[in-house]
Amino acid sequence: MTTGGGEGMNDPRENPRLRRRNLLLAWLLGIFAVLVMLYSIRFIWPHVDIFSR
Amino acid sequence: MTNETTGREIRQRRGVTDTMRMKKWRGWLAFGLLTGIAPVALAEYGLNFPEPATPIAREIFDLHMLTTKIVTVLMIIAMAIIFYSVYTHRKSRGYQPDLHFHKGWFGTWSWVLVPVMVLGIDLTIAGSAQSALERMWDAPKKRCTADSPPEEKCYDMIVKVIGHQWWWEFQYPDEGIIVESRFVPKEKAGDLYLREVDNPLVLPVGKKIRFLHTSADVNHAFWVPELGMKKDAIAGYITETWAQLDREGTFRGQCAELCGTWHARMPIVVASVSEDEFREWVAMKQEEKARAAAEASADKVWSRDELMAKGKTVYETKCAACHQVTGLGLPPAFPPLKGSKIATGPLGDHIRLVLDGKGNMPAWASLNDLELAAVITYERNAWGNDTGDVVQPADIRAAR
Amino acid sequence: MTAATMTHDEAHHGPPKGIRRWLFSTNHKDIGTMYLVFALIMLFLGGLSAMAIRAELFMPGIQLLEPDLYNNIVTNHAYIMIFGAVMPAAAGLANWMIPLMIGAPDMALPRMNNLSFWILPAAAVMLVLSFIVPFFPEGGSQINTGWTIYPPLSVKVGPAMDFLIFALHLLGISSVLASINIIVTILNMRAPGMTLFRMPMFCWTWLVTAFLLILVVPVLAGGITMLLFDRHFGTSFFDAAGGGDPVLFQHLFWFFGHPEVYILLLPSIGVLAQVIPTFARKPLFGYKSLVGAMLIVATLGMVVWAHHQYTIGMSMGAVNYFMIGTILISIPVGLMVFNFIATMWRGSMTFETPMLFAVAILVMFTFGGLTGVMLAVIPADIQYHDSMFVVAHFHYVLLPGAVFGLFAGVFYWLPKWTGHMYDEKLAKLFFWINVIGFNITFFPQHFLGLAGMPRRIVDYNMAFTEFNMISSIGALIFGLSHLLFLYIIVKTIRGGKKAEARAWEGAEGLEWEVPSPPPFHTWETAPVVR
Repeated sequence: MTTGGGEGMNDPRENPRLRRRNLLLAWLLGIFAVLVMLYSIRFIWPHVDIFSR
Repeated sequence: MTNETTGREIRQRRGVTDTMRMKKWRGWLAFGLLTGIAPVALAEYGLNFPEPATPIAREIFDLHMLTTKIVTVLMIIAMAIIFYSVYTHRKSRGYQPDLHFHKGWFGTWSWVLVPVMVLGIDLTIAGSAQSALERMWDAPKKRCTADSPPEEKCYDMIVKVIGHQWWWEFQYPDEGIIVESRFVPKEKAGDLYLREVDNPLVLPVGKKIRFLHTSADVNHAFWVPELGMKKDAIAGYITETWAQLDREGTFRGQCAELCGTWHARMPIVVASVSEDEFREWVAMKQEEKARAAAEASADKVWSRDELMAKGKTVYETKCAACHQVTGLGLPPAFPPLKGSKIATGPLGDHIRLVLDGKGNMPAWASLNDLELAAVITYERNAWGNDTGDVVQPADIRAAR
Repeated sequence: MTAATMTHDEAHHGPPKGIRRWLFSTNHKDIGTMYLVFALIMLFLGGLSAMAIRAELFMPGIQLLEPDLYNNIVTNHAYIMIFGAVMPAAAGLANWMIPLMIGAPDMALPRMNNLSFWILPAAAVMLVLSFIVPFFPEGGSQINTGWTIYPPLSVKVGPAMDFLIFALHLLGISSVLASINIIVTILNMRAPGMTLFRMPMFCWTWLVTAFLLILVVPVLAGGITMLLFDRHFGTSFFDAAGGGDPVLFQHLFWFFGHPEVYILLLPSIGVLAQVIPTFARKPLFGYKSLVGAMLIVATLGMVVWAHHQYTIGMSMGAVNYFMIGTILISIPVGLMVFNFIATMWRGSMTFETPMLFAVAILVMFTFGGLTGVMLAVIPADIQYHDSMFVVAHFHYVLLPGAVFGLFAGVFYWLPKWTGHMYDEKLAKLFFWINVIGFNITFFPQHFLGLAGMPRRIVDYNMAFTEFNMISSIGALIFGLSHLLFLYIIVKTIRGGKKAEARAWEGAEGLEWEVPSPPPFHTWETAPVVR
């Protein structure tokens, strides 16, 4: 089932295209996570009279 | 070792039957536990729901028994299939893997059949729940009138349930009385410790009662199993339930939402009594209330001994939960009063603190002037504090 | 993958020496090992807290622990087990196995991988500090709220709560970064020929888990940040007096909290999906329907959170919706369990320890899932909610579901990691004591709940004594059995019968084609999967 593929093709240190794809996807996911957190706070924001104690 | 002709594995000499036996034993044990203990527990040991006291609690009980039975049957089926497979489809018995199993009709259609079967069971369960849900969920919004038929969704009386750390307050707005309900210490409660209170929630049988729940501090939850009732008490918000008791008796519940230190010690006791007994009890409470108010507002000057005696009662009922009967408190959460700067320092500060509260200590301004005067007198003279101070109700009135 | 290639790589890229190897590791195997060791330590810490709880509950009365200390230990037990033991152990399995399974040389972002792990000991220190701070003057009250940390109570708690919030933020960041890494690795770095529908089911379960984590952990982060602001910066998100609502926190918490249970569960389901076909010597039944079912579980699981909140005073429409949604989850879950049984069916099974755990999981997790269906039914839940029945239910799904799955994975892959077969007799003994102890501990708790015993209480009325005693004795047996687990692991690391590359007769997959133990770097040349 397995034979050797292209040397280093699967290694981001040796395959710049793979490295770029990895970083792009990673950043997209990370920004998404931050947006989810901000949205869960912001969603509430207009409904609450903060600093009102 | 393989039989060269058939390709079947020749059974090993050693006791793989050990594992077989153990697995069967485990299967029977589990089976026995599930089906054996359940009915026994039901009957004798009170380890199922207690006997319901409202129609809704009865519906809940029936629903619970239905789902329990369905779960038991499904477990028996699942375990039978699993243990049969474990017993039969094993290498040590020479069973060869059936690699075509996935391609048969079962393999092709099971992904439809199984969800449909489970859906059927789900709909049965959800369907049975609907009527109970509709009956119990929305509390009646309007008061019953003289010609309301019995089935009408209306209420005969209101009870307000207020959760405090760590006691319950029941208000009867129609009757104008308030009941404070606290745990009874082990020495007096004995076997009923943590299930007994000093002043129960007395309710009349047969009346439709609308409950309004809230909290004075953190989240609590009012739970009485016989009523089939549990509702959160949320500070600043009101939640509603309703019930109609269909038998007399004493029903015991507990707070069901972790509310801090003494969450375990906030029992609820419902005393379900006949209408006549209820009216008598209400009359008695109203009279008590009138007497206490009169006593507190009288321009009498109270003696030190009278104040100490009354103060001790108030203290041990309302303050000792945190500050302890010995006055030693439970530092750091609950400071000691014995030898404390407040109890032996300026009287004005002491009165202010009790009236207004501070941090986790609630405000006690809801007590009447006599109660406050008595309890502060007690705190300033008990446990060797001996300030000699005697506080009169008039002093409290002035300080408010 | 020739022997020559492997030795060549090893000569260039052998592991660094000393503490640097671990502190600065970018190697998925070493990081996986660190996650697993950390999780094991946390398992014992969490287990100690459980022993303390059951010791106090052995008899009525308050013998050992002041109520607030008890409530704190209850809180910590949950956090340590969920965030300290189960999630890191699952991440450890992911780190070790995913690159091996998909033919990748390492994770996509090896340095971020290192960060994801090393955040954990810092978070653990914060958690321990949150426990210790109240013992000092001005330390304030203990965290006596339970792991749900509902306001208003959690706003009143002393400074310990701030340490906990910090710990939770750290744990969340670690999880999200690890999830990003796993998703990128699985999506971008599979060997040529390994399509998504050809990769091992364990990778699918972690793919779904990682997406769930990214979707819900930030919501918890938002909620606890608002809590922090209410505590210190004069806001009133959760304070009715200021226009806020304590129940809002509950929604934010459970929007995270319910998917969290699937996050805990799915990797262990993935382990099952590897173990059962191996020991049944038969391929996984219904690969595609398993993937579909898992996706439905994850999706549905995101929209049923309020079944933890039936008593807050929601409208009938809302509560009805959550009930139906929750009950419906039984369909895909039932399908998954069924597929595993069908994998066993007409296989040729042997019962080494991983398989013993697998069968135990199928029986007991199914039971736990069924009590979950009971709980979903609102009118009945009015009685079960916040009682010991719930405690029994979730231990029956979490322990057989998540923890035993991790145990199965450990036994299954120990030969691969260490190069030695573990002691099968000892492991089987551990299995039996563990499973029997577990059942003695938690089965009676169903009845305690039905009889009216609430959860999270330090003391109870004497009517509940007998079953509490039985449960505590079971807990002692169950707890002590884990010492045997530790012993077996240490023994296996130190030696044992040599393990083959394909350590188990029926094992299939790329991970079984590398040596046991694998060299420091594997799959530097990607295999082509046909």
